Amino acid sequence: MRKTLTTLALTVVLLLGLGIVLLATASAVRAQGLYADPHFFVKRQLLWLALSAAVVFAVSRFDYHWWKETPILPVGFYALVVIALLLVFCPGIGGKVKGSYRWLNLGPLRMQPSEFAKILTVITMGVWMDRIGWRVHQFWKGAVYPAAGLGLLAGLLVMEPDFGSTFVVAVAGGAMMFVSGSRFLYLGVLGLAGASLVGAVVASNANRMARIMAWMQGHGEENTSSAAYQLQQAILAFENGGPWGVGFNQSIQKYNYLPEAHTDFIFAIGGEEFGFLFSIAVVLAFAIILVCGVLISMRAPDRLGRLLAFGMTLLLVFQAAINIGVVTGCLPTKGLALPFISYGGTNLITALFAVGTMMNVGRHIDVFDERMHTQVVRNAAKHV
Amino acid sequence: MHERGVQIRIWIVAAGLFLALCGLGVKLAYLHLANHSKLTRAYKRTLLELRGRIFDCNGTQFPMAVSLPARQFYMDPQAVKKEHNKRQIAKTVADSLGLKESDVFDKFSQTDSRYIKLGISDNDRIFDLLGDVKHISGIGSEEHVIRSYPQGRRMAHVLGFVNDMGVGGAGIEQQFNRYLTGTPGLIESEKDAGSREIWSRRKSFVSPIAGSDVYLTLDHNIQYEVETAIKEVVEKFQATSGWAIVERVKTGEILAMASYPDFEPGNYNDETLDVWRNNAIAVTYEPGSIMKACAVAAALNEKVVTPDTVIDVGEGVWFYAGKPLHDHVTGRITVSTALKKSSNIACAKIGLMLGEKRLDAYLRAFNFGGKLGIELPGEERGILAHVKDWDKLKATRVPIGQGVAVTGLQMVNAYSAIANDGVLLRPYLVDKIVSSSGETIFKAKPDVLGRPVRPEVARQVREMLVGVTEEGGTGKRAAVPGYSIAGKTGTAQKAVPGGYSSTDYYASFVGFVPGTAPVFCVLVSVERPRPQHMGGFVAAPVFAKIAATAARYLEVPPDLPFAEDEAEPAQP
Repeated sequence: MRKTLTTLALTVVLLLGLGIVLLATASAVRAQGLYADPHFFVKRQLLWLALSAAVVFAVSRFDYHWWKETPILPVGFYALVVIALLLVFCPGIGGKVKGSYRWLNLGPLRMQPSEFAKILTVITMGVWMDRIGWRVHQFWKGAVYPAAGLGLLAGLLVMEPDFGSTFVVAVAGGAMMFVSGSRFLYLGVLGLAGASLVGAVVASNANRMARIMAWMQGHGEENTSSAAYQLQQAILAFENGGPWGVGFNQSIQKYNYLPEAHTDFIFAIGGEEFGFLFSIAVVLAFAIILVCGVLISMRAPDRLGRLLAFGMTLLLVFQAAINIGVVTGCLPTKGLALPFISYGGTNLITALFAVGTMMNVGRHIDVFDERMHTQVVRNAAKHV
Repeated sequence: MHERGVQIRIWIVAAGLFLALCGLGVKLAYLHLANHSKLTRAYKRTLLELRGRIFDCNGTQFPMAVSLPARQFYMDPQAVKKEHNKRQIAKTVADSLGLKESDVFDKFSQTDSRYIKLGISDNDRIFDLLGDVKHISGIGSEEHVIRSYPQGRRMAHVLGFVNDMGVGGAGIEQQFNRYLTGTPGLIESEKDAGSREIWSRRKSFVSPIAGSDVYLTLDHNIQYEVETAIKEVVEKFQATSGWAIVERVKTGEILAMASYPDFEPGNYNDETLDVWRNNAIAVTYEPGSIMKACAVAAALNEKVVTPDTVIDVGEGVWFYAGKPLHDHVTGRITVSTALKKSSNIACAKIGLMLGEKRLDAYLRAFNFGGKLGIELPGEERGILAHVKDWDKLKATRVPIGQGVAVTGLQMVNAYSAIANDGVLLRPYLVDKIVSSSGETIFKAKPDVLGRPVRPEVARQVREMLVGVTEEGGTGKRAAVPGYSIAGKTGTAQKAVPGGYSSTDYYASFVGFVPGTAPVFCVLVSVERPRPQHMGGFVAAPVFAKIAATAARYLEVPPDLPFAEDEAEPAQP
């Protein structure tokens, strides 16, 4: 298990390092234009990185069992996130940025509560599913209650609106219910209901609909919508990169051709500057994270650890897959960041929170102290 | 549910994610590795070069033509946003560029175009004003070079002008266009999404090379005097036009060349084609009596006559080949007197004595009927029919300047040859051409075209011509205090289809200063002066004015004592 954790840690450190280098080049033009300082975003991201390092250190040493042994922790966390998701609508502390309410202004820091909602989904769902154990087959405890908790979060996220996060939260929550053993019938019905509800909201949002239509039309030159333009420019970036890339700081697409070059579409700039070598390496890195996460999950000493490790792995890899899918034109445009690499503090902190939790579960695997042993036996007894 | 079941379900989800990652890998491989056309974001910008300058013989002190970097302002009505105050923009633009506010405002409604020229300015302050994007929207500017003529109309016909495309369209500007035109520079780089250059991606920078500077032999001080005098005489005598040339006899340098009506090279479009024409080289006209000196010189050179040969002029009318030739001189006169009094019959008889062939040969030796190769476009060759096409009358008419047409330049140059001991030089008005790097790429040298008459013959003719401006001569109004003036008046009827006009004349005077040791030669011709039309009355005073100023300016030593009453300026 030590090897797995080392591999995971190294992969994450590698991605973080790559992310900073990439941010330095991808954000320079925009930072120069906005703040007359090409390193503006890099400096901020380094600060966030320092904060995130503290987070990952703390979380990996914080025993995950506390989540279930102290019920106030998940409940309090849930309440906090719900309040935060409501506060974004308050003028002053929240506010509208680019047509949606996503940000909380906490003095010098700006945060996206939606990022915490993702982590919260995994933790509360894990704790709940661990708690109900075999009763997961039941209609109310195994399906309706968790779905309702999930539904509240998803509903608040749709209100922002943040469809990308809604999608991630719904998929992560649904996957954890599925893994825990919820019945297919209930899952299917609830999933369908949720999907049609979200579908209705999407259809009522002209902007979102336009993006989906743009994606359906393809991103050929005849499509002149702004979403299609973004995709066209991203694809030009990959093509321009070729196998080996055009070289560090040599991207042309970052010169305002590609919107969001340092946040959601940073992967395209990486593909342009460092080529296929970079792109496939990042995909491979997330595959390694997936493998490490699954290994940790498989060998986790108890159900909670298994679910937490799985959920966190799912969050990271699923978001990465969606982001890369969007950037390469496989999926319609969503406002989702690439974990570890895109610019953004909350995203970085929550990604490292997820890694910290995975490490924390991993650290318990070879530890057979009395308490752990008792726990395992007690769990086993429940199923007899 | 058993842990085994959870594990299996985790595997299922993980496998799904893994497959998704594989799919993305394949897509990325396709995007990166398939053959795509190369992405080009090339940026190219031409850097405008400055056209070479034109100076007079005083060098860089008085530029006659310079090019200045400026900006061309244009309007893009589609870029004007609703929140902008169009009235205020129109006012600012109109005030800055000297346009009418309503004109500018109307342009806002021409939304079918995104490029409407407004005006050109080289004023930095205006550029700052219009460059303030907070108040100004839809107004853009681009590099432009303007041609400026700091001395206004001075030397207009010699300088010419530059058209809108930056190509010389007349005069020196046209003739030396290839020297004056520089080489544009070029920036090759990459552009950002706003089509601006990415400085850090600059591939090459070739700086523009300014054109070469042309230094004229003309002197703007003499030119000023000549232009003023010509303008005065044309206006005073309600003439159609007038022209004058000052040539330095020892070198062939043109010191001044003026024509009136004139135009402003900077605003050449205000005038029409005929005003742009440099009359001094482009008008072909019958010279009249000023031709007599050449005929007499030829006869002297051929030793057909001497200055003291006596010719019988008769009673003022002489029939030859059935046609009468009138003269205001009567009796028996010497060749000297014939020239002094401008006797038609005497000169016609000298022409006959000389014979057609020799007369023709001498006139061609003086370069009549051929171009002199002055460095200006539009030089005429004059009309001198081939000798075998001459009729019987021609030998009696050509010596008195009829049946032959010349340009002012040919005439002043022929007199310069007489002044220069019979050595005919090529007249020129470009002294040197200096490249923008300071290298002299051309330097003019006096160029001998021929020696039509011997030095002593030239001296004899000079002495006779001095008599013209003395008491009893036709050109006494050309006299200049302190200097002996050798010259000849000319009054020629204007040739019209089917004969000669009885009302339109060319009044001319050509001569050199000082008569004994000539330094410069001046020709003045006035087309259709009224009511007086005599060369001695119309053109000679102009000559005197020009000669007096030029002689003093060129510090020519006086060869006559100043008479007390003449030296003092006349009191009104």
